[in-house]
Amino acid sequence: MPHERGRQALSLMLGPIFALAVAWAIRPLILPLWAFIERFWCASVAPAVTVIRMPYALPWGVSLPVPVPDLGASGPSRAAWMTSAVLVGVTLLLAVLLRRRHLPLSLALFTLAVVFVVGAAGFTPLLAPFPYVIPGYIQSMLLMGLTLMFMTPFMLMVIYYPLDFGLGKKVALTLLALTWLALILPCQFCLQAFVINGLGLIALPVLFLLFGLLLDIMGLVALYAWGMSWRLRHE
Amino acid sequence: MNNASAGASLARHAVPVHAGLIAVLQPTAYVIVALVVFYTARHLFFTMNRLFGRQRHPYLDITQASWPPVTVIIPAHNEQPVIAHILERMIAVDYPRERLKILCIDDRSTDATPAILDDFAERHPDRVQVLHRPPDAPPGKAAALVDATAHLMGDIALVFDADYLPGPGLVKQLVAPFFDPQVGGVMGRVVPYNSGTNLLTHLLELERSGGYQVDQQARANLRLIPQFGGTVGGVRVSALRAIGGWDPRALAEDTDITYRLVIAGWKIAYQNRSECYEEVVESWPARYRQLRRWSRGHNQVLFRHLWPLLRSSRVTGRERLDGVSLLGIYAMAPVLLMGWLVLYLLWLCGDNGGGLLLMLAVVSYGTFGNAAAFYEIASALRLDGERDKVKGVPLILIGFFVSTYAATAGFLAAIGDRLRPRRLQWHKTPRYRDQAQAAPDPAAPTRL
Amino acid sequence: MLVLFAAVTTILFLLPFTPTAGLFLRRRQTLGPSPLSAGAYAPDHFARNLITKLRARAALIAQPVIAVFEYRLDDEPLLILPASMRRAPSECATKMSYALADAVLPAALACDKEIAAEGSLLTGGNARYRALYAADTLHIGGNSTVIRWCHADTHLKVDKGCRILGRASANKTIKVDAPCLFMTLTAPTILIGPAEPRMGSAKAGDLASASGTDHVAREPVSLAAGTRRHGSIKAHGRLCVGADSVIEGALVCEGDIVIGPGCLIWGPIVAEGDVRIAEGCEVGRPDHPGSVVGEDVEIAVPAVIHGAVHARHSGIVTEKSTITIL
Repeated sequence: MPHERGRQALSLMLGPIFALAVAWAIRPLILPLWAFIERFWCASVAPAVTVIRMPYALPWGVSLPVPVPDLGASGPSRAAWMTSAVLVGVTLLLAVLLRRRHLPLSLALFTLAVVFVVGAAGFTPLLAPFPYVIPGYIQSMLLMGLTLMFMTPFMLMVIYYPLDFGLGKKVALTLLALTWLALILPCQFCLQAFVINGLGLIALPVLFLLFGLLLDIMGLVALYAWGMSWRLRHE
Repeated sequence: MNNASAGASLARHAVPVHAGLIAVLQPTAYVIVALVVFYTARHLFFTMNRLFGRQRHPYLDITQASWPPVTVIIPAHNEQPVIAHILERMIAVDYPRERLKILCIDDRSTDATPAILDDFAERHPDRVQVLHRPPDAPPGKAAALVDATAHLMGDIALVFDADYLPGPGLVKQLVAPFFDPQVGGVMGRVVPYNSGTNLLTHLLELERSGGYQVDQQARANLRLIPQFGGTVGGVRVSALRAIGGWDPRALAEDTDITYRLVIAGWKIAYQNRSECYEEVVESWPARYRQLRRWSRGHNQVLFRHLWPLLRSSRVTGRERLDGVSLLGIYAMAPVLLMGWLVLYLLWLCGDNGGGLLLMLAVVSYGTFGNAAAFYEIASALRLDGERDKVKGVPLILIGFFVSTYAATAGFLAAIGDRLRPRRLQWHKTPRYRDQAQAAPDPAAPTRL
Repeated sequence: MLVLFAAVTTILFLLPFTPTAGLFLRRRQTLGPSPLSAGAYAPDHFARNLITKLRARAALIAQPVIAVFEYRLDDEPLLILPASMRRAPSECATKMSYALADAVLPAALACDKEIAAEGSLLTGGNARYRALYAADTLHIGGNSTVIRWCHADTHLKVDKGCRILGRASANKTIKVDAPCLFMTLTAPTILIGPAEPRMGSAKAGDLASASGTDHVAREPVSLAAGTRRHGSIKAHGRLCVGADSVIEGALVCEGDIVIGPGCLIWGPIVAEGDVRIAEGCEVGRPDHPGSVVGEDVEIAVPAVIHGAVHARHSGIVTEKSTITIL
């Protein structure tokens, strides 16, 4: 029994241990890895684009050099407004047409249209000026990604570690989740930078809300579900 | 290419021109995030209780007793494809013959349902009685139940929807808790038999699993308020009469009765192992309509019973807290949508509250919709021994996404009802079985 | 290249969903309905399952069984003992055994497999069994242990010193000698020690007729000796029933229930805590069974229960009651 209690305590300690490991690895491992990934894709997609390091100062004096692609984008032109209006109209029409046969898709299209319209309001006198540009946006999203990585072991500590999985499985799932996040985050937001660069800043709000952290959390839930389907120690 | 980078010294913060808007939105965001966090913590607490807490099944082992007279009510409105199946099963249940009355309500049916019911009544006159409601009778299940009240035998009335497939021991299991004189209502567990039909039915099985195996059982463990779901359950007739009977205006007569019983000091018992197969809807529009109706009815109950619940001296503190949070569960869908909108607007105003947004993203995925959080569902499936099905959990986002819209529509409709009472439009839940075929028998091996 | 970048990112994003996709594409059969547990809770569920399978297997044997022969059932060895053979061989310890008539098991047998008999089954003492079934009378010798279940289609007799760690059931009577440990006993009449039913001709009544006088207390309840009460009682805390009381209804308690000597309880006794029943009590009636349910259940001899006794943790039949408060 004492052995069992010790095992449980060690399981729960995995949360802070991994979180501290993430915090420690940010500067020497994670950010250089992200810089490498972003440089690789920038060199492949548009060799002229460089990856700059945007420092983010933490309250206790440490600075995080977050790598971001040095891309720019302009606000919507008259033509972009027209195109957007047509696209929103088509999306809403599709949403109506698909309502009977493919309701989830229809609602997704409706959501997309609404999110786009509200986001576009950011470029109108109602909410203008639009306060984001690509590097700053990417930097903030990557910082939120780092926060998510830091939080992941704590989330698993609450919903996975208390269960009777072997210690190896708990470690494996945590490493899997952190590795996946470390790989997907730079790809996801570097790709977003190129998309915004191509489509203009008007695409940024939609990418932020619907294709940002929500996707990463979905992936984490998928990994968690996979981990929950593994055999328990006594099975 | 990089002329923007000069001004891109981080995501900039609140733009002064929107300071007024931000001043309004920010506290709203905090309140909404706090609410969502509360519901997430609630789901987590229930999950942990179910996994590691002491499990209460006080009435499970009442297997031998002097079983009291009971009436099983089966309301049926155009249930031709399924009604014969439940009656065949109900005739075969293990219960003293002279103490079981099967009261079928032909609720203004226009198909072959009345003929099927009459045929059963003719073949089993000692057990089956049919109550035909005329075409001009008020519509709705609650109205049908009101009509049935005068024809009940004994002090216990069980209610089954027509698409259910009760097993032989189910009636005894549902009657057992009524030996406790404090129990006014009983609820069993619903299990979809057509879960393998398509993605929707699979998702509904996941929701049901989380909702019953974890949520309802945890509430029973913690002596909170398990919810009477209007089917695979029953009420004590004397308690029902004491609180004024079924309310024919109630769209969610089950939730309405749950709260009226609790406010009057009765307990609702949940029997997790009193399982019964049901047929879940197989199309998204039908699911949307069903959920919108449930949300509308549930929110009507919220508006009606919130204050009486808070004031009642017969409920314990923990019951009051659980009762309020259960009442608010369908109202969380619009709150969640509102939360996303508020945080989005704040972000557009340059108030980059990344922390709040991250938190909302995490916890709203946990409480998205109203049925159950992903960890609750995954844990429920493990408790059910369904290891493989856990892999389907990520897809619940699709179901929850639709649920959020449907529940919001229902919430708005309930507010509309409050402002301007309207005559309810009833949508028949479609059935997917073939009447000509024998009742489906999943014939699954029993779980030990 | 941008398309390739998008494709790689999409694939990377979808990787965690591979098990989910596999569930729908390759293992669709697992998406069928979840099995229900309903049947497993019938007292004789395991016995019925076993004997049905054994009878079906025996029916497949073409020639008359005249000697012990080893067959197979569910990929396990199965010994079929002929009707002419009363004394079972020691091989029963390691192989599932099915006697076509009466059987006698040797003493001190440590048996890992099920044993069933189409007639009576008499087991030796100081033995350990996994599961026992008898189509007629089952007699379990003293100081034996049954790990999973035992069932008799007529009478079950459990000698003193036995430990029944699973379900024990009989279609007519169970007789248990003290001291004895048990989990679940189910039979129309359960005789604890040298007991005899004494209420067979008692005035009939049922819970329905008693419902008007039910009593719910939010505090502990203690009924004086000789109380006669028509209706059920629910208490929070502890429920004590004084000696020689008659309760025509159920006793339900969120704590412990203590029944004094000589009581007659007509309805079920359901406690979330422990149940202790003193000597000379009777629960239920021959035509109106009752259940005794508690975490730990202690019954002092003699006592009669018509129905079932379920101990969620452990049950004990004792020579002398430990109840001292009454």
